[in-house]
Amino acid sequence: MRAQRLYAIAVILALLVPAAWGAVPRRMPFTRYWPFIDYPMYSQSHFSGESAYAWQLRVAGCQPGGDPRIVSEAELHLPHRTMLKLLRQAANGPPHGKSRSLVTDMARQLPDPVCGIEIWAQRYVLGPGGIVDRNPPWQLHTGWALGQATAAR
Amino acid sequence: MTRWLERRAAAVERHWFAPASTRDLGIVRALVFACLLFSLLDVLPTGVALSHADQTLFKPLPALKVMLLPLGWGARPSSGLILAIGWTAAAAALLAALGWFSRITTVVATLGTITIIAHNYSYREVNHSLALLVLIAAAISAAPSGMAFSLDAVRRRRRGLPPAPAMSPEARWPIRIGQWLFVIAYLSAASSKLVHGGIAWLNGETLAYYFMQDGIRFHSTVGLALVGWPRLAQLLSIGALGFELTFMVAVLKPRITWLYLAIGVVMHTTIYVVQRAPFFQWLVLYVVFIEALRQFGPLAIATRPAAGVQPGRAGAVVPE
Repeated sequence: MRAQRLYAIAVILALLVPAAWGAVPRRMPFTRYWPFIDYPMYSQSHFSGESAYAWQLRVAGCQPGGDPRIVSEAELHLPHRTMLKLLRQAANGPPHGKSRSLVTDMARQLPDPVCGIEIWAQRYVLGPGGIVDRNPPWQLHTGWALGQATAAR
Repeated sequence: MTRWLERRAAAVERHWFAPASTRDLGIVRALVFACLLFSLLDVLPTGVALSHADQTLFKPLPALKVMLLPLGWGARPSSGLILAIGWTAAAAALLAALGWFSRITTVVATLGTITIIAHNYSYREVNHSLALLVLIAAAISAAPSGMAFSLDAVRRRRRGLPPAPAMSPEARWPIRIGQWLFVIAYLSAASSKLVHGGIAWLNGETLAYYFMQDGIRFHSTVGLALVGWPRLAQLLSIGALGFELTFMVAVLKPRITWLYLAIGVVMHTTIYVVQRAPFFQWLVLYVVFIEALRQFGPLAIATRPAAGVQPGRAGAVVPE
């Protein structure tokens, strides 16, 4: 009976103490993976005038005159959330950052050769009475070229 | 002072180890592992797709490294291995829900699910909706949850063995762990808002912004429509924060547990409709409050005799 009780206490502590430790908010959110992942999400405050973006990946083929085409997350075997996060990081990151390298590497896995990558965005602005423009235009946010030699497969 | 401490210690002892219904624990096991099964079947195709994603995306979480240690530290599983682990865990979850060799099947289902989820979160996008489910499954798999409401109990009966006791201390603590995990999860969400967002998190514009952001990302027309109602967003913000901060009342005061759970159902359903964040598992996991619901829920109150028998206490720390 005593052993059973000690076992139960050990299980209780093993499950609750790490959870409670993880629940203590820290100034550096989004970095802990267990036991509660990313709980600080949605915890920043926001104000009228701030923007949110929709993202789109487009790739240009190596034939002259062709228009860039939209690449879906399914083509890259990625969930919707992962794709959006990657595009946001690549769009806002440094030109030679890790996220852009990742997008470049993934674009190279597409069936057709890719010579250019573009990230397009729709910018929505929060106004005092709602969204300022419910249908903003898609605009080129950033883009970079791939060398012909590296693009060829 | 000593007597006060003794009384507190006795209350804590009752809270965690007062005999509870083994049938309640069986029902909790059945629903938690049924939920685990559906969640696994939901996330498994994503895991298989991710196993074909570009190698440069793979950044294994510590949990995945530990679970796949036999393959080497940080090894990336093939799609075949993901499928094998997923289907083994799914079969174990089904048997665990039915209560067949519960001590083994609950453990296999939990470990398999942890592996699949850790793999899915090893591609730069982590989430949290399944964490609570896995932790509660772990608590149940550590206890003798097949005493009642299980095929194990049927097998005992057929063999002519004496039935498991109707009440047992072993049926109390796993369910309590689940209840306190809910308290910690909600408290974590609330304290993060207060620390990172401050009191401005309640300004209405914050929630309107998140409605806009998720409306765009996940094509929620309801979310986009609500952006134009900042006062409503402010009321929802205050309500959500108040609910999260005070959820421990649902554990400590079983008479009003049902009220908190009703608010929780409305809150999570609204979050799904507006922001497409699926927390349906949490609504199923509310089953860990089964004892309080059975004794003090609206149905129990409606069917309770006018006078006479009073229901037993749900083992609260603070006496009512």
